[in-house]
Amino acid sequence: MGGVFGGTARLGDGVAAAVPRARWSRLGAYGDRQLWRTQAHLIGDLAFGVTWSTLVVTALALAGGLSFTLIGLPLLALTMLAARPLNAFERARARRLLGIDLATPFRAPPATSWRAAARPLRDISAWRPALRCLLSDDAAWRTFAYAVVLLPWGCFTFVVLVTTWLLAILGTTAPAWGWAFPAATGGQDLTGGARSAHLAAEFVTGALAVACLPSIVRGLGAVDRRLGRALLGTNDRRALTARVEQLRESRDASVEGSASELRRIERNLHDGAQQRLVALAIDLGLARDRIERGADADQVAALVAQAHEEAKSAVIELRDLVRGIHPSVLSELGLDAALSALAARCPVPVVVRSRVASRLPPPIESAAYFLVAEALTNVAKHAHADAAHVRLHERAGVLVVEVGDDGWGGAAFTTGGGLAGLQDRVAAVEGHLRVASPRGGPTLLVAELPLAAAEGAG
Amino acid sequence: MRIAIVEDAVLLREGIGRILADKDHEVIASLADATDLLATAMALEPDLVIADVRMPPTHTDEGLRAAVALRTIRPGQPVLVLSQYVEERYATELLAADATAVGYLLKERVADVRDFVQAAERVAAGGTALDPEVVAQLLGRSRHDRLGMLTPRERDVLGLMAEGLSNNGIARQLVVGAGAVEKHISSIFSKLGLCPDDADHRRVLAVLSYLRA
Repeated sequence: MGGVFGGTARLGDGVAAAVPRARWSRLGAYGDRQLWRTQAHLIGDLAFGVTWSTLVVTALALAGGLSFTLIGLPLLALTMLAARPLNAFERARARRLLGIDLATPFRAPPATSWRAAARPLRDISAWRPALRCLLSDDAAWRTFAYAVVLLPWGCFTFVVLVTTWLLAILGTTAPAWGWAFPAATGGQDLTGGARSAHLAAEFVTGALAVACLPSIVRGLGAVDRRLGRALLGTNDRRALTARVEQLRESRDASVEGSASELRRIERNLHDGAQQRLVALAIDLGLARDRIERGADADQVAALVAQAHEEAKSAVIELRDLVRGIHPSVLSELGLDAALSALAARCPVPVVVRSRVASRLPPPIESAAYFLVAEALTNVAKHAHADAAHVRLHERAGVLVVEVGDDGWGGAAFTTGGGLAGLQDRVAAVEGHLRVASPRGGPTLLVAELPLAAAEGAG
Repeated sequence: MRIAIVEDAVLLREGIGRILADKDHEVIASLADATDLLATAMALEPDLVIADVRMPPTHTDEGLRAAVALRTIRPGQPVLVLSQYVEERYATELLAADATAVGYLLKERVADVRDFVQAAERVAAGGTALDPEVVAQLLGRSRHDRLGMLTPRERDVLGLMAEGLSNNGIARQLVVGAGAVEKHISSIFSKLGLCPDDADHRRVLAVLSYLRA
């Protein structure tokens, strides 16, 4: 018997332990911070929905209405620009409260100077393209759509949330205070059993509300997340299209770059080593001819000595050419050593300062090397500089290469020019090249080479 | 022989000059590009013009253009064109009007000093000098079944004929007697159905047009 009792007791213990655990896990949802954050977001939806949609609708209507006057267009431009901080704020709110990380849908503003940005202010003809660019920004329009949708959605979530909370609080606490208030149904005061049943029903409703609230909040939160992903984040299709376009451009650049590289190698071989070898063959041919004719040794020796010089020159030309194709110091010792070697060969004194990891992806090392090589060649040839510098550093996954000189300046992108060639090289690894070279100098060339693209490609 | 050289590569220009001087020829003009060729040739009337195909400013075929133009103005002006690569089109253009006093050689032939000078002298004397590689291309590409009827020796002779060599030249090259060469040639002509011709340059033209057809 004792054994049976013992068994029942154990079974009972088990049930008793399981029940509170189940109840706790349901109520435990209330201990989840995310539940409260989501609710904060849902309540915020109404507040910000009212604010944003009022501002957006007013601004757009104003700008549209005034578009035929002088201030209409600036207002429209400002409105479109205002989408950026609005979008950033809402994305931050979604990150904080909904826990979703949305990338900015706006393209990085083109790297222009302040002077270029202010150009539309002085030059009325620059307005049109600038405005068209702003107006065609689909990220801004989606942000506006979000702001407008947020208002009715915020009203809905607010009503649902407040109702559920009221039901939950009032219902579950009804047995505690309900007795103090008279209750009536159909004009008749409820008394006794009916009153108790009514209070019980109120309690059940409240308990149901408590039980369902987490699910309701989660459901509304899921809709909120979808809304944010659809309207605040990047547009996947457009991002893909832009990426395809970018890849196409970089591929074109790399095809063009390698084609011009091959032309350069062919020209160098044709004008250099090949000529030397032909000259060498001529001298040896003449020497052989003279030997066959029985000429005296001095005459032949002079020709052979000349041929010897030609052969040595050809070796040097070939070595230089090979270095131009891929310098072995670069693959063996890395960018730092290769750049120092470049600087040492430059007739203008060059200070090299490099603050990068010992080795970078090979395509980036190569691109940076040839960029600096070509830039220094330009410095030596055209800049009339007394000093130049090369600086390298890594910033957020991007290798920044800077080449500057104190020369005459006036470098410009011309088709087929050295700078255009540099741009092709940089574009081939999906980088950007900027050149500041005012007439009178100094010249500064800054290339940004993303390391990730090269790793992905490699 | 008074010779004008048009060649943009200094080393090669000087090398050719040395070779020719070594054989007692006189280089009367050394030009680095083809722009002045016509005026120079009209003024100096050289016995031979040696021109590179590819020259500045465009580095395509300025030399060849100038040579063709020169031969239109001065028919029969001996011209020897040097090329980096075998380009049959160049040979065809040069030989289009007539195959007298024309040469087309690869630059590297210059190193075979004796052959090069002989080719230059042959062109200056009104003969033809076609690079063996061009001839090999023509022979290789020819669609004539009758070529299959030739013996290997006859094919060699045909090639040397196309290069512009005389009977004696062919005999020397193949180390055979002049009689044997004549026998081979008449056999070739009858097998291919060509009219035998004594003049070397007309023979070259006949062979080339047969191969190209």
